[in-house]
Amino acid sequence: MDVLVVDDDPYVQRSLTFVLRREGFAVEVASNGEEAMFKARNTRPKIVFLDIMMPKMNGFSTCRSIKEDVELKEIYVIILTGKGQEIDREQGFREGADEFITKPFSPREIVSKVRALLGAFH
Amino acid sequence: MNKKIYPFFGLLCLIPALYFTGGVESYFRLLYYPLMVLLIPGLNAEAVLQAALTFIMLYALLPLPGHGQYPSYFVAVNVVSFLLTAVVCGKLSDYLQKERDSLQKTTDIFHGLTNSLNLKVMNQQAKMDSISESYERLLAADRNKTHFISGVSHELRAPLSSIRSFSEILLTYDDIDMETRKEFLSIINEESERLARLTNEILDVVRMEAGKVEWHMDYVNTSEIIDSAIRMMQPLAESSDIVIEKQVPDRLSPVKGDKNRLLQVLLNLISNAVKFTPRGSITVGVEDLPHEEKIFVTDTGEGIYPEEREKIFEEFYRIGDELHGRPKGSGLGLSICKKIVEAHGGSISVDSEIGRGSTFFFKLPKLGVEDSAEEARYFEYVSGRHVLVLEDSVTMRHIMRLALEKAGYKTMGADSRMAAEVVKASRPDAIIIGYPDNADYVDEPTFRSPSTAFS
Repeated sequence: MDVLVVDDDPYVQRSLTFVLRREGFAVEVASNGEEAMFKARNTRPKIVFLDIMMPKMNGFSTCRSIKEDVELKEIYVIILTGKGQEIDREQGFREGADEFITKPFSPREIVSKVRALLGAFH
Repeated sequence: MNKKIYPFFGLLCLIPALYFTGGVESYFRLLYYPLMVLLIPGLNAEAVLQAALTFIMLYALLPLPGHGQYPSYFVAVNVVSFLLTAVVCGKLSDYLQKERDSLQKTTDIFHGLTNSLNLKVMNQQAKMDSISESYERLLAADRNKTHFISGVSHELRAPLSSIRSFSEILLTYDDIDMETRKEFLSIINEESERLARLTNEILDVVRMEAGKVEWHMDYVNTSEIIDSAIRMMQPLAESSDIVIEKQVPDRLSPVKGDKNRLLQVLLNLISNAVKFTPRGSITVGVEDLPHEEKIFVTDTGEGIYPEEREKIFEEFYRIGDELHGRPKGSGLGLSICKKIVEAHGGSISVDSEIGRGSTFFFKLPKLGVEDSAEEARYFEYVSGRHVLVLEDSVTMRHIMRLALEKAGYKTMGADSRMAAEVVKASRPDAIIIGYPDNADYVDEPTFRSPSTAFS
């Protein structure tokens, strides 16, 4: 698995999976933190796009859980959120996020980011 | 030192002084009197008398130093000098008393000043407190505002994000099949609508908070508002296979409110109920409580967890949106409802049981007795009363019915041909008869039968 998109907004899931799959990446989606952890363990994605405001388990806790997990901590976590305040950004990095992107995002930029990252992994 | 012991103290000092300086006959004694005065400040007449008695006793008690006979005038000189001294002492004491009094006065004035100053300081302190209190309130309001703005920015970003993403996708890839293309376009369309709706609701909230909303308060018939709400929500409910039922008592006390705003509250509650009820029914109704009218929307939906029941009335708090295919709310609906109900002097709240459903209800205060009792009585009297308008001209009938309904009556209309049947079937409280085109159709006894309840 290349990318896991975690967002409770179905349209974010739809647009990201559409462009990423079209560009040849294997993509999975999750709608909340718990589901994200489950899918991350099972599918071992290289990159996770993570929303912050989600039901059940929010993005910050999910990020921390990923980074504290010995087997998952290598995953590149990109927080993708509508919460664009400096304080959220700081907390994101404190929880171990590798990158922080604010909505609205450009699918094209996401694709080139993923391409660059996965190229670096290979 | 106590005032009363001044003279004794003075004389106590005088005794050794007299002894060591040669006794009472010595001319030095003339110096002792002023000394006495110095030692006895604040001397009064009583003290002078005491001093005099003590002095006389001194003559008797102290042994005379052996200088032989006194001159004959000596006693007289002594007495005169003593009396003079006593007078001086008295004057001086008066003067000192006056000085002390004026000093006391000055002190009093100062005390007064200090007190008033203290009072002023206290007032100032109170003012400072109230200022700092309002400052705290302002800070809290500011924090709320900041919270609101960050919420707004977050909420606006979501639909904006969809619009940007899907339009960019459509622009980037030329070979997307027609169906997907349509799907993306409809998402863009839906999300722009959401953005517009959100903008309106945000404006609504801001205007309500700034107190810039004009409330058109009037006597309202909650039953009618419920009717309109149900009518407007019917299509949405039908598309979700949900039945909306109405439950209103026959007679309702009047409440005062803004009809359109109350309708807005009901529409919001019903659309929420439809959204969260996968199958089943929704009941909209009124309960007549002693001092309030309780308007409720009950659904057989999934219910709300106790910890969420308060929060759902907060701005941007949403539940259940993660489920796919559900229209996304703005997260402002219930907070707007709350503001509207509170502006009516009422309260809104929710009862719920997980898996069983929820009841959202708001209470509107009934008009008190003092609150235009007459109008209230009138309203109560006419509401629910049936008036039959017998009039052959359709237009006239319509106008009369409109006027009566506006006044709170329930009306029916009939032309003279139908009159007898309609009267028998509906038993109205009153009948208004227009001039019939053909009087033969009117059956006189039928018209006397309904109790003409009011004149």
